[in-house]
Amino acid sequence: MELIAEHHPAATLIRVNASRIDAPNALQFKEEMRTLTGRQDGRFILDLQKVDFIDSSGLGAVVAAMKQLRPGQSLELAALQPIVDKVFRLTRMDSIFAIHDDADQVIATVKD
Amino acid sequence: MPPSRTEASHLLALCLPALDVVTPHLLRRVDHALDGTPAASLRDDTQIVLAEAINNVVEHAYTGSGFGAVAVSVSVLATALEITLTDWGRPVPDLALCEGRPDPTLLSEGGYGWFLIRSLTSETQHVRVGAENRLLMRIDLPMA
Repeated sequence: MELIAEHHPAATLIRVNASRIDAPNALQFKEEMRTLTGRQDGRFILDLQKVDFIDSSGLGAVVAAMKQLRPGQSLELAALQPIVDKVFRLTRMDSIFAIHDDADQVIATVKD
Repeated sequence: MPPSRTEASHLLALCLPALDVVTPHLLRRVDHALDGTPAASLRDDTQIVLAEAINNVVEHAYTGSGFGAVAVSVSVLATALEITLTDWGRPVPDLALCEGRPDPTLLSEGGYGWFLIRSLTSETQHVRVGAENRLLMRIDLPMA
């Protein structure tokens, strides 16, 4: 799985360059998120623009990525595609995470 | 209630290794089979439901026994899409017993699979027949 971190004044953007977060790669996702969020404090936005499928393992891994944050860090989500959006709504995880329509809009709100 | 076999249109039957790396391939095959059928609008729900059902076979039916196979059969009935999964693993508990809705505030990292299946299906039947687990799931077709 490829996660690409970009540092912006508003937040660290983590772009998921994969079409799925599911049973085959959920553990890898969780470990890579641990590495990325271990390097930096503050706000993280997980850009799910390219992710068209998530299963319960992937959902669990996103929850785990939030639980492994330190005080002073936060994890928000952006660009949920239809299946991902449905899984978050059905499990009411959409009430736990701040969810944005577009990651680039969030980082554009604070200029360099 | 028995399925109305006379009106069933059989779309796909396949048998593949029950391995999580194979599951995306199996899901794609089923997704393509639904294209252009009355169940095409159920493609997203089918992907969610089928992924969870197969994960359950991989994680529970074949736990500790290496791996085995899973057979998937997909049919369009008069009012529902019917998906049947068969595996030859150990007996797994009836998912109908797994009632309740996960509490999101507990931040649990698991326990959502059966809930998603129950949320998106109109009917599930889980039976042990000899050495087989058979799971039948139906998703209602949208009203015409």
